[in-house]
Amino acid sequence: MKAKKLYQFSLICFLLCLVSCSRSCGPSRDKDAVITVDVATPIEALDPRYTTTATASRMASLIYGTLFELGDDLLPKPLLVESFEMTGDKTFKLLLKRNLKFHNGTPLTAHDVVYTYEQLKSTDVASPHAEKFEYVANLQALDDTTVVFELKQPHAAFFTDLCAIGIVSKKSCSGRSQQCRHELNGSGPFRLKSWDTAKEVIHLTPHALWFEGMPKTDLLFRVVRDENTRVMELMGKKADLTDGELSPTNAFDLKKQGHLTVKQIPGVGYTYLAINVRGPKADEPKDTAQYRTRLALADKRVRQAIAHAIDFQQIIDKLFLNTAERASGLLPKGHWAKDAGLMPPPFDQKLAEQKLDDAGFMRSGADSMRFKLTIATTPNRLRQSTSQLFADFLRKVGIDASIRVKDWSALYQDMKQGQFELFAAVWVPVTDPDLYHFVHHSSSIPDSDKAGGNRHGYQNTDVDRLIDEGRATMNQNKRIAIYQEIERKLIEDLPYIPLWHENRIVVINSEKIHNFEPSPTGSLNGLRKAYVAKDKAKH
Amino acid sequence: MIAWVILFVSLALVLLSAKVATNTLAGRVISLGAVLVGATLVVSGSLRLVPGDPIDHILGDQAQSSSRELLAKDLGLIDDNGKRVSFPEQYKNFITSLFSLDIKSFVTRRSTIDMVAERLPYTMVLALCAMIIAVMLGPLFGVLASLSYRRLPDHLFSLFALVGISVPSFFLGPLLLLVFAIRLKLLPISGADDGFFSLVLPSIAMGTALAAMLTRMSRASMLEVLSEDFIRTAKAKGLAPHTVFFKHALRNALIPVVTLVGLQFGVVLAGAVVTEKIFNWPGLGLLLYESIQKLDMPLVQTCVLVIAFIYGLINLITDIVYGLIDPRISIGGAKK
Repeated sequence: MKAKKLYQFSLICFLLCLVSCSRSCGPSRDKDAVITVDVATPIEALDPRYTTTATASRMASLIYGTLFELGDDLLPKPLLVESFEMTGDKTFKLLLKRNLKFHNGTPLTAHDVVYTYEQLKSTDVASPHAEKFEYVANLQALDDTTVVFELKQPHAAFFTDLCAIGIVSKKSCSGRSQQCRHELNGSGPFRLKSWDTAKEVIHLTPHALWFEGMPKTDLLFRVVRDENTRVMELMGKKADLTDGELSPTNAFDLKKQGHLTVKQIPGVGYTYLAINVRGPKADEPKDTAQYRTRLALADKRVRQAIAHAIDFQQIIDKLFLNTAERASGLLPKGHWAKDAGLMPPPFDQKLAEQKLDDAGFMRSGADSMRFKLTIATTPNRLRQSTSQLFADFLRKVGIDASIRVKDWSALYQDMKQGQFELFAAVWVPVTDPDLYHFVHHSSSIPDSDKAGGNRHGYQNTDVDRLIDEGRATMNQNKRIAIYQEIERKLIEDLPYIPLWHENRIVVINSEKIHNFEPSPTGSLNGLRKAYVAKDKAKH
Repeated sequence: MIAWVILFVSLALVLLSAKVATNTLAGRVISLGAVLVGATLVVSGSLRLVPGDPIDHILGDQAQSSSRELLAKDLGLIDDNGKRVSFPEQYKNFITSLFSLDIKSFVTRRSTIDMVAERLPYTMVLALCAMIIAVMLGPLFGVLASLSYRRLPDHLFSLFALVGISVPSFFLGPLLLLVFAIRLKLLPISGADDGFFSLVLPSIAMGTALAAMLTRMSRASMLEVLSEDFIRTAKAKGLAPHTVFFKHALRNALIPVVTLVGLQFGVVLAGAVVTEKIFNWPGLGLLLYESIQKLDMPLVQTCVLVIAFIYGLINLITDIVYGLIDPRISIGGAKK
């Protein structure tokens, strides 16, 4: 009897604890006055020197002002910089805007700019972006508002690179970067109000001293990993915005909800099919299937045949519900350096068979196949489905293709070591075409001592020369001509088969959010001018 | 050298716990220590077999060798000469940091103890609520089913058990959300911002499967006990039916049920990844899962240590509860 009473008492106490906690344990906020944004990826850091994921970088740029920011045309525009002048191709004098302030009220000066970029490589900072500004030879503050960058050699992507790292306070961070990375004393339009690391909720509030004028509303970023939950949060008005975090099927279903607007923005990501073009190893036995596959993939005609054999447009229509644009190269349609007339290889299976025959890979054996091919992919459902479709199309032209699913870590190891035949992946975001250097330059073939994006082992001296020229040319028109030439050469050589540029799908609670325009660059800068409906009269 | 000492000590603990009778309290405590060392050792060791490099997860693919080296030194993965730090050495460093309570996550560079501590209350509350639902419904349904063996209530409770076990949480979770949060607007959609109300749906999603398991187990156990000779004897003695049922049958039938409850509590502590993901619940399971994906060794080790400790503790409590149910079983001595 005594035990029974004790049990009942404990149960009542427990329930009372839970009920007393209800509704008061969450962050106190007026939900109607805040724009709630759902993101899918956990945020590892918000100090721009340590952010590595696209989501964290986008959020960091709201907290930390950058010298330049990418405009809707993907060209860098001054942000904290008032004006700049170039002396030759290697010296840049930047004049900062006056009266810039950090969130703690201290002034942002040229010395903070010098500290931010100069200290990236120091052991105190230990930033993952340490090498980003390797090409800067010297950096000095002439006075509180003037800073001079001297480069080792001309570097056309310099201003674009400046868009990536926001300015940190020298006073706050000098000698204590590992502490200051959690304090987030930025200079951007929003300051950190709270960061609930357990619930993964980040509350940003307008920075009163932001030079453009104070933004209109608070922002609440919530990490919601499950896509179905993000959909339901939008339906139930718990979330007001997701930017690029929903699949086409789910997003289009949301169109039925009266309060939601679904927008498609041309994406700056590039999905490609990478082909290992290294060819067979010198000591590899010649009578193996692997030798034959490596030999085939090193042949340009076989790569062209693969590109002709797959109906990419059909995949875009059926699987992506027409929310992607067929790609003809790294640069998306509408990019300032894109040759609008450049076309991808058309779907033509007869031509594909012809090219395979010409390359000497005839159908043979009981199954009438030419050679075996393995397409590596991650467990991601969409990637797996597309890889399976590629394999189905390739089997129709006599390539015995199959897919191998590997966890991203394992696949990435294989990619780095060149141990793959084909894999599909995405480069995101493609802003400056200097990315070609990392992706296709022969000096970017990775090895044990060197990182690089040329995992497919592509080497072409003409392309190398053009990429070097593109990097060293500051004249915009000359750069356009160079990169268009590169794209023409690559569509011929096909070390990558260009697949598509996926559109970014933005879902907005348009009953609540006003004046928000999603940026083509994928940045969240549109939130600087957005406001919530109940404040509409004020604006 | 010190690393070998650690390995030796952990082995010695295991042997000692086997030597000291495991049903004594001292034996239990020693075996808990061995479990903690063993669990962290096995998990850390197997994590090293996983292909991939934590540096890749942190720096991405554009960082050059100097950045990688700098970070690897900072994380204690290589020594000052650029030589890879061996596993025993790394484990020793972990234990040293553990005693100084200064273990930093590879990825966030925050204290892993803080990271686990801020999630643990959420995990514990969710696990407790799920267990309360399971314990309140499961044995009750099971017993009622056994009392109406092969009649309609038995079929209905068995159907509940079958459905509860068969329906996966990734289906039940969104279904509950759709009905109770979106359509009826009775409960919050996700997250832990609304206190008790936030707990209801994830607890039901987790507790249903557990309740179903307990229903099956209690039913089977009760049926077995009810057919035992001592029950027949008790009835023949002329004892009242409720005395036979509560004092003789139920007590005996509950022992395997309590075992299952203890085991399942450990499972819900770290294995609630799907439920935590669907309901956006800030639990330990998701933290552990993601830290494994990112090869964040210190965070994995801390999570495993805490989970193993709680698991060990629950097993101890389960053993004590055995004693309460059946006085013939006790810790610290032979059967009475």
